[in-house]
Amino acid sequence: MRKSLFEAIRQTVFMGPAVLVYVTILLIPLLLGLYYSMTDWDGASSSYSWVGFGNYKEALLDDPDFVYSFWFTIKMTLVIALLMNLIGFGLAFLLTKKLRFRNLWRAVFFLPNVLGGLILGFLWNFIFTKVFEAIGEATNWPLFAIAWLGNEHTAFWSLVIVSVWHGLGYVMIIYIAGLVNIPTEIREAAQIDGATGWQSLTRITLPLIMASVTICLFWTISSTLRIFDLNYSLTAGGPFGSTESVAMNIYYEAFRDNNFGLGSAKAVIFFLVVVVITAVQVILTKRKEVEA
Amino acid sequence: MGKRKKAVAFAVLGGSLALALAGCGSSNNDGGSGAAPAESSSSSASASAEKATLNLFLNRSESVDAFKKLKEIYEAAYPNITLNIETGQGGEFNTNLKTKFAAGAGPDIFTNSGFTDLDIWVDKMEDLTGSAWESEVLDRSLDGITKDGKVYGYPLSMEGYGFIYNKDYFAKAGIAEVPKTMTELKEAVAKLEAAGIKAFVPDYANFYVPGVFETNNAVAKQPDPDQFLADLKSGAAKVTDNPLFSDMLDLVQLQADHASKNPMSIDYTGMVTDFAAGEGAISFGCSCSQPLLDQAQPGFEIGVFGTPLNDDADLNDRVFVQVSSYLAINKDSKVKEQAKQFIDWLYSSEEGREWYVKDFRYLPVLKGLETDAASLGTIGAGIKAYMDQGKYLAYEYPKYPEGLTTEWGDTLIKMIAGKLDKQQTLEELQAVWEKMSK
Repeated sequence: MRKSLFEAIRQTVFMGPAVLVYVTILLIPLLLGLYYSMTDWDGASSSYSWVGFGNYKEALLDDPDFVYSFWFTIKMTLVIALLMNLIGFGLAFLLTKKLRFRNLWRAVFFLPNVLGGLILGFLWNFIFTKVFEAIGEATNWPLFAIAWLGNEHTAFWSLVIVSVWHGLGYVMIIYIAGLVNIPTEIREAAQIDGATGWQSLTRITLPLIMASVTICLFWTISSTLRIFDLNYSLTAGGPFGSTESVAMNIYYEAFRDNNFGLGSAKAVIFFLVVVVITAVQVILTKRKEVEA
Repeated sequence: MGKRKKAVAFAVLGGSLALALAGCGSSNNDGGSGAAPAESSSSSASASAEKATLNLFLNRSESVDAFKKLKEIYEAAYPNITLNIETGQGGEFNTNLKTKFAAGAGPDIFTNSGFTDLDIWVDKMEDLTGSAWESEVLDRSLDGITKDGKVYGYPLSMEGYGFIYNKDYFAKAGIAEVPKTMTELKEAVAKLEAAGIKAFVPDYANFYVPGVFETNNAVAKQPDPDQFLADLKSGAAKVTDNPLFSDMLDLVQLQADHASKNPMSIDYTGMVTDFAAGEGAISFGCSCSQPLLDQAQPGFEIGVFGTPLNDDADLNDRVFVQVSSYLAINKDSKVKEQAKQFIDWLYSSEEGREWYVKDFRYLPVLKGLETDAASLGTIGAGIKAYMDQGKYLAYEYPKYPEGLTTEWGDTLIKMIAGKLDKQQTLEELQAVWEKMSK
């Protein structure tokens, strides 16, 4: 009796604050969002009415821009997640070798991650529109002479370049942590058995860092799906709405176009899609994880 | 924290006056009331004897320095009032305002852009019908803030836009008179190019200039814009068979074809700074762009002219003007009286009027308020010259359905990118209207 009371107090003391924070800043807003998603509230007025699943229907069936922003975001996520992990792993692989200034290089690649996405966006906006233009004028290289943010294809790649550059360091650090944790005797054993560099990379190293791969893929996919600040400051969805991510589409719907209800419905749909995509990814990569 | 303690100590000492202070202090303390002892101010209004904080949230962040000055002047005149002025810009302003109200911390005074924006916020706004200033402001300047015959706001700032041109370049190209028609504009472009000068600096990187300025050019020039918008809504009129829209697209195309560089790489800031740097002779200019223009090129000699889209000289020799923000009072504010007193001071007092002309520097909304070209700036003075001759039309875009300016702007940019031809552009403008006006 006493013991269970003590246990209850202990649970409350240790878990209570976390649960309280979780409920107030996550659960309640989520439920409120669900509620508003079934109303036609504009975000400001004091009266609104219940519309049931009307907003969901409108978002999915009558809003080609929303559907487009989904495809755009998914396309971008695939490209960014792939590039970020490949390059991140490549860098980690190089930077766990015995190199001069190894720590300096690690710091250099990690540095962009310290900057906020919004600032980076404005910075690169300047680089793409002014610096590239100046280089283009000086050298006449066609790569720099085009308006990078002025056409939907290059604007897409601008986002990819900046995102990858931004997130690279983070992924690299996780891979480095994974790589240095591989016991050296396993690699030595492989070497003695006559494995080539490629064989030891694909048969030994990769399977042993699958835990890092799971984390990195999860992080890159979920953060790119929810991309907003970089998108907002770099292209602002332009040109002509061709680089509008889902998060931005939702923000504009709810706050700029004053359809808070419809915006909430879109957010709920988006939430479910992100949960499904990341859950599938985690389950798939978890299966590949092995113990040394 | 310290301030609150001080306020408590003051309450213990100060008797009945302090009780009143503590009573309204609970809602106003967060602004940090100046804690200066309440003097009985020289002004006669009884409400002003109490200490109060007025929280203002205004959408004119370009005037942040002017507001600092305003706070100084007003607090000197009313020592018992603390002005707490916060500013925001564009879309973020509305988002922030919604958040403030949702958190139960709505400002006492906030700006509203009128028309559709009024429909959104009218529930929160105090009915100001019958205020003394109603007869003091320019005719029709209350249109945007009147709903069902009730007036909900005081017109704070007036803006105008048109084409701005580089006087030096026009002289070099031998253009004696500003173009009043499309034909004259085309001739001017030919003369400029013959003199080796790029004609236009347009901003087609972003929806704003095409979506707001260019489309307004077509809507405001309709014989009756309100009727036209109503007809568009009912389906009686269509963008696709409207000659003015077709003309407007010609003007857009003309600017894109004779742009100083790839027009899709020029954003708003780029447009103003490139124009100031002499990259082209003609650009869109809003009186709100003046601070940026002055920063880029102080003492730049420019003029203003209409935005001709066809050959009707009378119709096209006009600029566009509109009240760009109104001051509204939160109807649930605890300091409504002080808020009204503030607005009264702003329009009627000597200091308030001087601040408006010398510091705020917007086109005057008050009848008979004397301004000078130096305070208004080159663009403002050019617009004012048109206003004085009665040659102006209104901004119609605040009457558009929410979000339409973005969509229309994007459509025009697609045309410039070569994604749509003229006919397809008209069709998309119509289709987007139908989607957004539901």
